Amino acid sequence: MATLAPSKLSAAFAESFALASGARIDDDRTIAGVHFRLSFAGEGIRELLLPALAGASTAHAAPDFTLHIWDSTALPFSWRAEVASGRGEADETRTIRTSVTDGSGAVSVLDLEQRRGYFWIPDAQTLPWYERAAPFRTLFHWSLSTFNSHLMHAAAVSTKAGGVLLAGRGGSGKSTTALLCVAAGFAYAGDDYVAMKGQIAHTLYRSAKVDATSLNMLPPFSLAIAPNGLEKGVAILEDVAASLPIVALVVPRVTGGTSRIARTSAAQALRALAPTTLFQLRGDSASELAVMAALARSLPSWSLDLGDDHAAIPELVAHAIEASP
Amino acid sequence: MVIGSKVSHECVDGEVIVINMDNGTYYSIRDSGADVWQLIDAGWNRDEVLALVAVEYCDAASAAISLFLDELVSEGLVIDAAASKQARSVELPASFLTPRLEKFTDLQDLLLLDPIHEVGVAGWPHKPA
Repeated sequence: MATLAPSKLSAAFAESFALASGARIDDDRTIAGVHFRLSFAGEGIRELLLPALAGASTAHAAPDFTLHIWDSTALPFSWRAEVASGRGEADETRTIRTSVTDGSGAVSVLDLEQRRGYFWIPDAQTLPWYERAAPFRTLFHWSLSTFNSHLMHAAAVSTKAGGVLLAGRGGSGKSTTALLCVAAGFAYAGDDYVAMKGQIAHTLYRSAKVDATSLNMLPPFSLAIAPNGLEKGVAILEDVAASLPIVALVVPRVTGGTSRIARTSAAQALRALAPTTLFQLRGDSASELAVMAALARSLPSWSLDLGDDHAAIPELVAHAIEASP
Repeated sequence: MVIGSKVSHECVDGEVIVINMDNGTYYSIRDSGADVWQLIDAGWNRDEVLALVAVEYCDAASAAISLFLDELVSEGLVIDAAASKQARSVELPASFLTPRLEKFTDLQDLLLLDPIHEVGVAGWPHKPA
């Protein structure tokens, strides 16, 4: 296979997309104030990936970014590591970003000059749950950051008094806390990824990771992937907020025993928020870390011990919101 | 001394969060370690740091910082090379507190399992050999 220079990459992907897309279907979405046109090569891949997306579904004449989405068994070209790193770093012209996801084989390419993105997967039917729950997150991460919105690996929920960003690695209890809060009537902006613009959390996805227990307490949803034993499923919530004002950072951890919440340092919140975000969403790490540090400095931080008394947890989060200036 | 090119860092509330993007390890640096990190970031070289700490505090403090700098180098966070930039002045606090470097490896497995990987010369998508 021929190796491509980065300047040719965008055109090669465009050509490959054109070949694959017999019945092209466009969906326009506004996410964090940025207009995206999602151009799907066919209904099959669209119906797998579109349901999880949040954002206002409004047509716009001139989208800020057009994302091309398709699957095919192979791409007719290749390029070398020296030309374009798979770690989401920009090439030497700083206009093309690339990333490869090993598990799903998903390739994300963003051409910042042409404002076009490409999301290619070998086979939509074997797409892992994390791509269906949070599709195009890498492309959103790179494109939204040019509009000063920053993807963070965090959940966000709110009462009428304000919202919290729940920060932590996978398994820390973000999702559990978010869903307990939703069941208690909180507004929801995501259980895994949100786009922060200043202190506003913008909703990217209406998906939520669920187990058999959490299914019983959720407000209206449809099930994209059913939970199977210890494997969580993916629910698609009908009602999600477009955005939430964040007044505090909360760092959950599963402790058992009695749940409690207490103030903690901005540094602890940054430790919970930044490494997991930066390792998952590759890009300009130094500037993304600076954004997260600024957020941690500007908001009070809380540490939430998740005990066995699940019913108490929404009240503790509400307390943190009330007590955060 | 120079901070590694794959190392991102921010100081919040007197604690420096240091993230090694290459291997999924992150660190918390506290007390006088945080001050010394600011010196390195400001372009001070090893001898200058040790001399300053000896003058501001004492020889024992300088010895502790020497060990701390060795640790930073062995963790791959800092390269023991001549600093390339003009050093900026950094004010040190009145009292010396033994530097603390806390290492977190809980995300390493996430990075290994995490499906993102380098594109190899064989092209893509290929799993690393």
